[in-house]
Amino acid sequence: MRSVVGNSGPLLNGSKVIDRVVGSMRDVTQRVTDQEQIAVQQAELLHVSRLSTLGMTSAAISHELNQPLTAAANFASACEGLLEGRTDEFANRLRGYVKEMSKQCLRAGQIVRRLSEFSRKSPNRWSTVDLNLVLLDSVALIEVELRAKKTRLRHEFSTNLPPIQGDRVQLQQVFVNLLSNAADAMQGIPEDDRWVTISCSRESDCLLVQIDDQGPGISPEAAERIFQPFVTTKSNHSGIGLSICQTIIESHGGEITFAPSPPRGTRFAVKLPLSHRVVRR
Amino acid sequence: MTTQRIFVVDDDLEVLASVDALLTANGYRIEPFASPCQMLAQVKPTDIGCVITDLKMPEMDGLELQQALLKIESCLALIMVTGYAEVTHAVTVMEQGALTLIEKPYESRRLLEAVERGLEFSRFQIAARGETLHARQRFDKLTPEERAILDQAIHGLPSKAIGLTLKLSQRTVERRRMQAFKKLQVESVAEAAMLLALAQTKLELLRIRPPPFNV
Repeated sequence: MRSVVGNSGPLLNGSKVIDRVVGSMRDVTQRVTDQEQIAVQQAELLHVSRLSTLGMTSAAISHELNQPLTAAANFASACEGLLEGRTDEFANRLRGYVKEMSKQCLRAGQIVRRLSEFSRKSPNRWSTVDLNLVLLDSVALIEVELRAKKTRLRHEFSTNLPPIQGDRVQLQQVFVNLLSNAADAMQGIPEDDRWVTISCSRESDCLLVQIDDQGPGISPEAAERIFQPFVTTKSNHSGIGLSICQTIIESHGGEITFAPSPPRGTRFAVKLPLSHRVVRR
Repeated sequence: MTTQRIFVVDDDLEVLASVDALLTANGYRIEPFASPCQMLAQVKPTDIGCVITDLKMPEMDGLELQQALLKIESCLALIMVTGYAEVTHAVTVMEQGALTLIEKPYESRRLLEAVERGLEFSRFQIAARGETLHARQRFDKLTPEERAILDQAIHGLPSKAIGLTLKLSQRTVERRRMQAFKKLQVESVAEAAMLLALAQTKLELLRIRPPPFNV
């Protein structure tokens, strides 16, 4: 089956009378299939991201949670240490309570650990990945959103990049997220200036992806906590995106950094190593 | 006896304060640091004690701190603490000779036991290294001739046979052997052999950890 779009319209002669009617038929089958394919990919990404968000979220926040839990457990045990040698009724009761406090901290720690282990048990989707294809897929997935945000995109990909080992869908998640952030960063500037640039190149033993926006930049206060979960400057976001990006990139043995991109805007850089010992997280 | 030092390194100041509270309440004196660089500025290669360090830190992480300590041939025992230990990291930490790796949050008993074990290990290590270095110094005093005779004696050859191979009289052999014994402060070939084994111990091997106490 093929999809066809028809157009027709009148042609007027010199005395503004309909002289002829012109019609055209265009075969748009390819365009429709492309759009369907994008829709399928978007659905896949959404599905996987829902599946992995719980795991990735807990992996991302487990460090943040473990720190205060460790501190609380240590302080409780310190109380226990200070009570040593005291056998009066008051000390005995206090000892019981602080012991219980340590126990509860450890229990909370175990819950966090179980949650992040859940993400590590999710099916292994690692394979040999052509990063250019991942980026092209990510660009296709974000196109609609960029159009809605009146943002244009420029890409500069190097050809013949060596393949890397990784999880295609997780990497897509990272780049879609970074591109979406870049567009968000420029909502306050004139539409004509809203350009996102994405580039990919090889840098000795790793691949480097850079995403540049023309936005107002990131304030020093925001920069300090940018990868922490649940920290956001946007009213409608959870603030989990960048911390998940970081967790994903680190699980690929890479790193994600950002810096001002003169003359204005911000550049996010993702470095992925060409060889990474694959260890199940 | 030299005082033992306990260094604690964590970029999270609350965690740092809590480890301080825990160890102080249990009778230890610690030196807290918010960054590995600050700690390295204070540490001397001759220090005895242990280091409790977080793995994940900005600028310099626990692994890099461990490498920096290895570089200065520190005898401090290293206790690595981390929220989540990736298998690759855990293997590296242990291969680089850490005493142990503890996941946060932990039972305080585990940290206190590790500290106790670390202090003992550090003392053991510095003593063992001292003995080896001392043995090497004594061997360095031997002349090449004395050393050649001693080596053959250790291999079980009698003075007469040594004299034949080295083209020396039996008396010369025996005289030189006695001089070697004197320099080495030993009284028999067997003692000299034991001292040689000690001198030949590779210092890296002294890093091998003793098994943990019964817990």
